[in-house]
Amino acid sequence: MNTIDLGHLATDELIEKMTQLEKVDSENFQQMVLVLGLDPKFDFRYSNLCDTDLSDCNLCGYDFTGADLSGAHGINVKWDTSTIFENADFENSIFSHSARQKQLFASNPTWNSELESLSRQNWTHQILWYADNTKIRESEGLLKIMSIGYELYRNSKDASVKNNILYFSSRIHRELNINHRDFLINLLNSTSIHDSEFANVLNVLVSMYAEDHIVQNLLFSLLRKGPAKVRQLAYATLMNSKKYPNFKGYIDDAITTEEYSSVRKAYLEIRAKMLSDDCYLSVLSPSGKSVIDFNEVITSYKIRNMAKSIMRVERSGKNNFDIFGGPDQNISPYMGSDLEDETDYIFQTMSKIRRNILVMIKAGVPLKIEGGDNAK
Amino acid sequence: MSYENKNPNSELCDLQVVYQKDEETRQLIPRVQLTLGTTDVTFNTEETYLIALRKLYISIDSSGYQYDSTRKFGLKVKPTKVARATTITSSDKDSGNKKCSKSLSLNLNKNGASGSAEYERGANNQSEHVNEVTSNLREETAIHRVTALGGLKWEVTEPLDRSNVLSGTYLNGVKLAEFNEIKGSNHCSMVIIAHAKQRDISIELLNKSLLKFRKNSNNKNRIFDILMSKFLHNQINSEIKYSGQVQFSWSSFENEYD
Repeated sequence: MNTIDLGHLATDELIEKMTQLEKVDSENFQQMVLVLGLDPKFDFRYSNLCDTDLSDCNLCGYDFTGADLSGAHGINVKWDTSTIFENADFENSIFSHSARQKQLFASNPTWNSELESLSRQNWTHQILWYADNTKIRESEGLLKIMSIGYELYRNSKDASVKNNILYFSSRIHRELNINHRDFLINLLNSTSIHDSEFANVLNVLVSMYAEDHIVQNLLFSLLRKGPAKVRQLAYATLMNSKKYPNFKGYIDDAITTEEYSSVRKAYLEIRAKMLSDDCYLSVLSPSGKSVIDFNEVITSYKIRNMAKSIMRVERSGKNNFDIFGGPDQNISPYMGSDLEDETDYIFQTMSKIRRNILVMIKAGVPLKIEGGDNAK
Repeated sequence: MSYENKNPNSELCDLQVVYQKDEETRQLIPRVQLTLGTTDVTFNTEETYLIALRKLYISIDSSGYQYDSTRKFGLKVKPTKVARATTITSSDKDSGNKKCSKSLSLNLNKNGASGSAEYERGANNQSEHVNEVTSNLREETAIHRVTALGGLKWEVTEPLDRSNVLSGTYLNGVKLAEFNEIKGSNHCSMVIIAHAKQRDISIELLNKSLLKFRKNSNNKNRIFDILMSKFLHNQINSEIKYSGQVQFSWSSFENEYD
C-alpha cells in the first residue's frame, strides 16, 4: 500500500474539522454545513450526496452542479431558482418531481393553457374532468392528465378537489408509478401542507410504496419529526417492511430517544408481537389495555401487577392468546380461590414474564428491568 | 522551450508527459503516461482511510495551438459498416395429404432479425414448400478504459465494473492529440491536468474496529467525504479554491519565440 508523500497524517485543521463533525448532535445537514464552515457555493459541486436527508434545510444559493443527489430526501426542504442543479443526478429524490414537471410543461406548451382553463372552472368540473380522464389506459395521454392534475392539486385551495385528485391519482397506470410516488413525496415536502393533509398524503404513499427505497428513506426522516401519529405510521411501516431485518438495529436505537409515549408503546407492541405472543403478553400493562412504556424501569412490583392482570384475564375467560395457560407452558390458569395456589400461579407467571422480558432485551428491545444491566 | 510535470501525490496519480516537438513542421505531440493507485490518510495514528479514484478526467488547455479533432486518442467511433449474415433455406417435399395453409412469422430484436415463411398446398398435387430466412445483425464495440469526450477532455474508468477503483497504468506513452502551432503566435503553451470529481473519489476506512469519525449516519459520512476531498485539494494545490474537484497531477509546457 502506498503512502501519501505530502504527509500522510491528517493535518490538525482536518482533525479539528472531523472532531467538530463528530460533535454535531443533529442529523441536520445544514447545521453540519454551518458548524464546519462549508461554502454552499463551491463545496457541493460534483459532490456525492446520494441518499442524504435534507430535512429542514434551506438550499437557496447552493450549487449542486454535477452532484449526485439521487435518493436525497427530507421534509421541509426549501430551494429556489438560486439553487443550481446543472448536470446533477436527482433520480428518486425530492427534486425529481419538480424537475420532471418543469421539463414536461416546457416541452408541451399547450398543457399550460389547459391547466389555466381548468383552474378557472368550478370544483365539480375539475373533479369530474380528472376522474373521467384518469380512466384513459394509454400512457402518453395519462401522463398529460396526471401532470396537469398535479399542478391543479398544488394550485387548488379546495379540499374536495385535493382529496379527489389524491384518490383518483392512485388508480394510475403502473408505468407512471414513479411519477405518482414523486408527486406524493413532493407534496409532503411542501411547507404549506397542513397536518391533516400531510397524514392523508403519507397514508396513500405508504399504502402504495411502502417497500420503495426513497419512501423508506423518507420514513426514517419522519421517525424523529412531526406529530405522534406520523411517527407511529413511520415506525409501523418500516417495522412491517420486508427489509426490516436490515435496519432493525437502527430502529431499536432511534426509539430510545422518542419523546412520545404513544409512539414508544406502538413500537413495543409491534416488536413484542414479532418476537412471540408470549413476549407480547409479558409487556401488557397491568390494566391489560395496552403495552407498558419501556421508558420506565420494570420493577418486581410492576411484574407482580402484570401477573395479577393476566390471572384476572384468565379468570374472566377473555384471554384470546391461550399462551400462559397453553399445554406446553406448564402453568395452569388459576381458577379457584385457594390462596396458596393463587400465590403459586402469580409467582410462576412473574417468572415467565421476567424470562420473556430478558429474551426481548437480548433481541435488542430497549426495555429496562430492575436488577438487569440496563436498568437505570 | 520548457516543461514541468507535477505529481504531489504520485502514488495516487502519476502523470508523466513527454513533449515531442518538430521544429520544421512546428507540431507538438504530448505523449502521456498515466498510472493510478491508492494512498492513505491516518488520523492520530488510529484511523486510516484508503483513498482511490473511481473515475478520472484528463483535460488539456492550450494557447497558440490548434488540434486535429479527428485524430484524438480514445474516440469512440461508431462503425459505419455492420455485417449482416443471411441464410435462406428452401426445400420441396411431396406428401400424400391435401393441405393448404400459410404461416408467416417475423422476430425482431436488438441483436438481429429472424423470420420464417411456410406455405403448404395440397390436393393430389401433394407438394410442400418451406422457406426459412434467418438474418443476424452483429455489432462489436471495443470497450475503452480511456474515452475521448468533447473538446480536449478524456475520461478514465473501469467500464466493466464501474464501482471498482482505478489501479494500474492506463496510458503508456500515448499520443492524446496532435497540436499545430497557429501561424504568427510568438507564445505557445499547454497545460495537461488530471483531476477527479469529489463524487468519484473513494474513501474507505481500513481499520473498522477503530471507528471514530465514520458513523452510522449517512449525512455525516457524506460531509466527511467532502472534508477529505477538500483536505486532499488543499494539500495538493492550496492556491486554487476548492470547487468540488481535486487536481491530482498536472503538466505544463511553454514555448516562446523572439
